[in-house]
Amino acid sequence: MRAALVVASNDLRRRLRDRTFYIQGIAAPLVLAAIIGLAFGNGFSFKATIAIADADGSGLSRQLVDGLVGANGDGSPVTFREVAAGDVDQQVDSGAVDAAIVLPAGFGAGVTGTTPVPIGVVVDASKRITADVATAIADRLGARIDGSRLAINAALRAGPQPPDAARIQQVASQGQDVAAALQVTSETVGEAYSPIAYFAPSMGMLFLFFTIGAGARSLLTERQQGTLARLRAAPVSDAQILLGKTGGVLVLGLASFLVLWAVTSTVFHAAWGNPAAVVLVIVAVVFAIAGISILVTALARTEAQAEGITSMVAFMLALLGGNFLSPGSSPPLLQKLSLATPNGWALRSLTDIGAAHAGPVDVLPAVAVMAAMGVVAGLIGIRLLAAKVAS
Amino acid sequence: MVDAAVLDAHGLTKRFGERTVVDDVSFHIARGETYGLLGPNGAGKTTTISMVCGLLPADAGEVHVAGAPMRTGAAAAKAKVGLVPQDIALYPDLTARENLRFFGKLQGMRGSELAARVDEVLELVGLIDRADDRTDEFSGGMKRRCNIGAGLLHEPTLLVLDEPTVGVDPQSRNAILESVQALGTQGLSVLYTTHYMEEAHRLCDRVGIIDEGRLIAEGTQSELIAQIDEHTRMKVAASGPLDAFADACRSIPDITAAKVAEGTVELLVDDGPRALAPVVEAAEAAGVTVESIDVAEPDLEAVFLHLTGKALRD
Repeated sequence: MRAALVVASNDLRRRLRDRTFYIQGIAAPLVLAAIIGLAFGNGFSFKATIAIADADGSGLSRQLVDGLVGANGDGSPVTFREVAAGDVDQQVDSGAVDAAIVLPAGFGAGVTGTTPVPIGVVVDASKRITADVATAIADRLGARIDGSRLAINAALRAGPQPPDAARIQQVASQGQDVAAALQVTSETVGEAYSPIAYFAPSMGMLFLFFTIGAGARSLLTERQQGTLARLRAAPVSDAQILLGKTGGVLVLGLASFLVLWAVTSTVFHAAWGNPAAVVLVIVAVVFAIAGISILVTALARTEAQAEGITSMVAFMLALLGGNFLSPGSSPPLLQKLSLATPNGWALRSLTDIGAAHAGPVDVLPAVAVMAAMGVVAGLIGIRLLAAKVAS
Repeated sequence: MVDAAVLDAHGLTKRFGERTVVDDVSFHIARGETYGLLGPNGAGKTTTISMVCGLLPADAGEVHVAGAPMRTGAAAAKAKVGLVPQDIALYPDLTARENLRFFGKLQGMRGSELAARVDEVLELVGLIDRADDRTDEFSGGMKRRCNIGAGLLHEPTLLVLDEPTVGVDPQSRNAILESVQALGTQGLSVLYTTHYMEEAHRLCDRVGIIDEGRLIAEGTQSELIAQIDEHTRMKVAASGPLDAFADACRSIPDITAAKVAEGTVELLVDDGPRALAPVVEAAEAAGVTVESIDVAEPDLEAVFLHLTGKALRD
């Protein structure tokens, strides 16, 4: 273990003296994030289409649907569209709408009952912000209806007991008027999420491939310049050398990302969100990208070849992962493809943390996926590199 | 295993695909002995020492260093060996001191012991004044000296030098050879590979001659030269069709070997004076203009020529 630490600290010392690290790892992502961030002004414009389905067919549900669809207007962040209740899943799956609110059968009758009938929400798991908006609207509606239900029950209890049919009809009509007064307001989930908080990690991940890639390629460099032979002639195992090299690469990646976080938070006042969740995602994505970089290095025959493949892989994954696009703006196919990339998972998680206030527990599934990607790619890469080192 | 040998290599064989690069090579080095592995480029010297140092696994055979078996993961045996690779195995962006400290740490040294030893080695290789300069600012000779220093740092039992003077100016080369000579007299065992006959002649107590992966002769220099004692070396500096001239020389009864090398034809002859006239006649017949003819006592170069029919620098 000590030998691995010696190798890692030597690599770190050499990389930290190389200004390329500061350019690739910190300056370039910051500058690019700032430039792209300027293009977006003070914040992202959030747009979503939410379907509203009436499975009840009561007067109250009809009134709600009409009220929501009628609330559409220019500049509104949310557009409501009425769809048939049976089409909801297909509409959300196909991406025709971003989420759906379903008023279930018995919804209207529930206003005069003693227990509420819950409003259904159908969301696309990949559209976290829209899902939160749809849920918030449904909650707001539910709260209003609950208020009406309680008012109706109180009114009925205040009159002669048991109330007759005419009395029930009269009070229910008053309740429906309450629902009609419902106003749909936009959910300002994006207001605290600045573009730089999104694009700094986004660009950071792209350059992470180069920062970490350079570290991983140092093994090929050392092999070429002869220092690897001297390392291997020392009383240390090949595994210790590889462990040291890998450790150095991980620390470098973490360092560059943590500095990005610190600088954007303090200088640009970008709110990345829950620090524990951010750290979890950063560690996971650095680990995953390190694994991929090690695999790329192991597959290359020369340092130059490794550099070329790294560039290709970095830009391909960045494009697929949505690193060049604002959150939620990727086409549905790209959103699905982004799930095959660690940077896609990381961006999604960081957006959830920054915009939807997700916490450490919320990002654990994404962290697990990224860790798995890192483990698989890294283990294959280290196995191939070990054979290369020993040859 | 040879008793009391610092290095005992037995039956070393290495194949890369169908090609046998080292073929059943055996030799040993006694305590305080400097052993030269002499052979042309591509003879298998570097592959042999790669197996000796545990960098490459042998396909057959075994190596013991001071009794410890050497394998790729053999820490005990590796700790006894100091390797000076043919390439300058230093980090160009680190200073000489930083390089030595790093390699010392890998050998398990630390603290004041390491700091003192680094200074001692820098003094030994004449770089103490440049200790805190980056090695990419060094001349070729200084880099070579620092490269040797890194191999000496942990006070190995066996120092392995792989062609340490390649590409070095004459002055630095001389300094390196003097250092190696001094280490030999201090009791360090040295395995020295070279394709320079003069270096083997100057440094080595015993020499193994390697060609095409096989150790074709071994012994002290006098033992090796005794194999061709009755022969004389004749170097004919000439211009013209030298290959045709060499062919003509091979048909002269007194000549046992002829080789063209760098504007000369090197001949191994049984009787120098008697062969002189036929050689001049052969030159005239081949249309070659003779500039000079040197007749010399046999040396390791002549031994190699005698054994392989090739010059060492081929």
